[in-house]
Amino acid sequence: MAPDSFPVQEDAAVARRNLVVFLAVTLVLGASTIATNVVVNPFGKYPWRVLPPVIETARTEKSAALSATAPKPQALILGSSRTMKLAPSDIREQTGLTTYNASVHSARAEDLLAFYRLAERLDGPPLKLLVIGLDVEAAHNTVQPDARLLNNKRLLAELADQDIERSSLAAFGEDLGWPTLRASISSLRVSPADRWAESSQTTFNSAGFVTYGRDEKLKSENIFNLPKRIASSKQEYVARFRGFDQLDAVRLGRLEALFEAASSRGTRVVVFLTPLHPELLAHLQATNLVARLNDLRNWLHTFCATKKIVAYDATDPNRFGADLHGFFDGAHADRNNMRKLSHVLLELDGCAL
Amino acid sequence: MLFNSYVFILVFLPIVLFAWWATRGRPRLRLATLTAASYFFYGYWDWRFTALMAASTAVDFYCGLGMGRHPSARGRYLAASLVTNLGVLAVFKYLGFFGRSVNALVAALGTEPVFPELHIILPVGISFYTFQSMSYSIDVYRSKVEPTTDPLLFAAYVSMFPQLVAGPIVRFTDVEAQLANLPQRPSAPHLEAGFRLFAFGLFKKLWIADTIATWIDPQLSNPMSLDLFSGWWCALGYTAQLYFDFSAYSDMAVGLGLLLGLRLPQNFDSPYVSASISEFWRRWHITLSSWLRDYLYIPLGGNRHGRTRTLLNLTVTMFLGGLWHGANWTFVVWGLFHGLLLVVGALLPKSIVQLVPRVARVGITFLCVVLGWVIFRASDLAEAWLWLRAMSGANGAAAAFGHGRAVPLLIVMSLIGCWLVPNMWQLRAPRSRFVAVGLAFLFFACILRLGEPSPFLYFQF
Repeated sequence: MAPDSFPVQEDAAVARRNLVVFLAVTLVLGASTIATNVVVNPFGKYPWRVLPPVIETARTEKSAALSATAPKPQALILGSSRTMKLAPSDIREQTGLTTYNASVHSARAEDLLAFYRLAERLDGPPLKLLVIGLDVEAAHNTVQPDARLLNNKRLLAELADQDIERSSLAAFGEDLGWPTLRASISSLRVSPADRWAESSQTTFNSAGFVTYGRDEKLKSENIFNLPKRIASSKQEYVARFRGFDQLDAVRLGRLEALFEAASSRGTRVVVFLTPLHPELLAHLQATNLVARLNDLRNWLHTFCATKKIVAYDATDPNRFGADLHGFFDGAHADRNNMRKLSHVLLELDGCAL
Repeated sequence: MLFNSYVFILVFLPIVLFAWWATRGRPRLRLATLTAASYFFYGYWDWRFTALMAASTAVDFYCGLGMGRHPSARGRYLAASLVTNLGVLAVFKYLGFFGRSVNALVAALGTEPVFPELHIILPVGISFYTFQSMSYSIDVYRSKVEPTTDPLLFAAYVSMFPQLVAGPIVRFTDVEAQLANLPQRPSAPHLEAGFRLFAFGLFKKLWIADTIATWIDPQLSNPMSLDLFSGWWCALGYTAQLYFDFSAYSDMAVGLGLLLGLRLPQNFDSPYVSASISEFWRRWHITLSSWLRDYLYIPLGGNRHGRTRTLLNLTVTMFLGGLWHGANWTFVVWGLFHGLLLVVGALLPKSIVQLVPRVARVGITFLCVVLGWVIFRASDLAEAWLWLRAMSGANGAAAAFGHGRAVPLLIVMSLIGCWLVPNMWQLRAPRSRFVAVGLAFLFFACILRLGEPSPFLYFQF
């Protein structure tokens, strides 16, 4: 028979005191955490801004900037931070089209769809060109929609048909969670004098093109330590592929909706799988990356024929003659490399996966 | 609904505890509250399957009543109960597996598939509540239990949310008197012990089991990459992960029971210190082992019909015990592997076994259990074979694990914890308020991780 003895404190008074202490301390810890996270507001969830953000808030900045863009751009770049260095001016130089780069950090399929719809909502003719830098993680099957998307009412409004919503409890839970507390602590640890300087290191121009102030300065002075950056990105990218055991059907549906909408408006769609530095790529061979990349390539193939999209696999940067020193870490190519890539992309006709 | 989620800890549990203790003068209302809360808890995952649980409950309740009112027809009522419960299991858990296996067999013979491909959703916890419900019918049939005439009490027994989806498997005799005589006021010692067990369980799940999972899952997602060292570390890591995950759920279930003033049976008793496989099964998933013993092994004849029949009964019991865990050949082979180990254990003369020091017997038993978990964890037999081959050194020993020395160290620490740290239910209640403060910090460390919910491993069964 299963044992049924329990560690029950026999002294009721002591048990009551311990119970009260336990519940009181738990409540105090919870309340302190919520208060800290609400006041510091590290993810820009609330309208106030007591301290500058220590995390990337590209969704907030770019959705506001894109909404205010007039006239409507003729070309749009979508993607994650790995596409941010694709310069709108370079696309304009090659195509003559006014371009906006709406790439945002950790973009998933829903981010791409939301920004596309936001752009098409602007007054003006349909986009002529849509360039999409697609990370395989855009179709991740276990990662939830980014909190920075869920906190952005402008973008969320574009996804009303996508069954993306955040319960009040989930929103409340964020303020009790370690990711928010860690960001709050990071924010508080940065000295007041350095906070604004820190937040000014990543800036976007009026066309959405990013400048990494400190890193680009280090590069110009030839003291940028790329091997160290690649090494530090390895762990992060291994973690990204944990549990990524299949492409998410719902997210693929969002990408399909995006391709469908653009094709039906006569927009030329150019999709590329974003480059990874060969050293990081080699490190990720033992993860789910290889299998998911194959899945994504196969999936994209079907659209090359049916929707007449152009697709190119730029995962290996050697394929488009990239300079392997032209990276900021294992996944973020610099402008020169992205310019080489854009030359290849805009001359393509069909699939090169 | 997961125990390790905001909705459970911040909303469901406080409301249920309040409703439960606020209605303490009205036992019928309390049973209704517990039943409704349990159905909500279950339906939060997929409300459609609450009907299945309700149907299973209704059939067993009326079969029990029938056996009480018509003793001469007890066999027919028992048959109705068993056919219903096993039929539900057969359809929802095994039909697709059976079809796939037959199709694979005929495909090997060069014939077209004979069964259509079925995509049946496996209801969470179905194996647990059907076994619990069946044990009642069998006990009534054996006249070990008086059939209850109270449908509410029976529904509360079958659906009790603390242990509904992953055990412990509770016998009606364990809780009948408790549900019929509900505690009238919350007892501070029970509440304190309940919160303590719940908090420790949550810690074991979120900080130990889930952390180990983050190390081994990426490795196991590509079994071709395993080598001697990574194969063994993954096997040992999964051995620790499974224990901490499953025993965490049991601790939390028993803790939740205490918060309601109910005592549920324990499910673990330091299984990895077992000196034989039979001892392991007396310490691991105790309520399932005792269920298999009382409702399968003994009815098959147990050890009453000679040695050969005893060995056959052991093998059959473990085969079905393996199949209970899941519709996959890995579970069948795992069950048969344990059956074989039990047979070998039964055949070895005790005089010889006693010559081996206990520490060596514990080591050998542990090694066998670890090898069994490899088969248990693998997604199919081919993967199990790859993994076992890697552990044999066939793939060499050069590949780096990717986590430096931290992984081996933490897996070893976890396993040492399994061997040396007493079970949670054996720890004496803390007397100091500093211990209560420490427990609050530990609980809050768990709350911080609730944003990354991960289901318990035994939910899939």
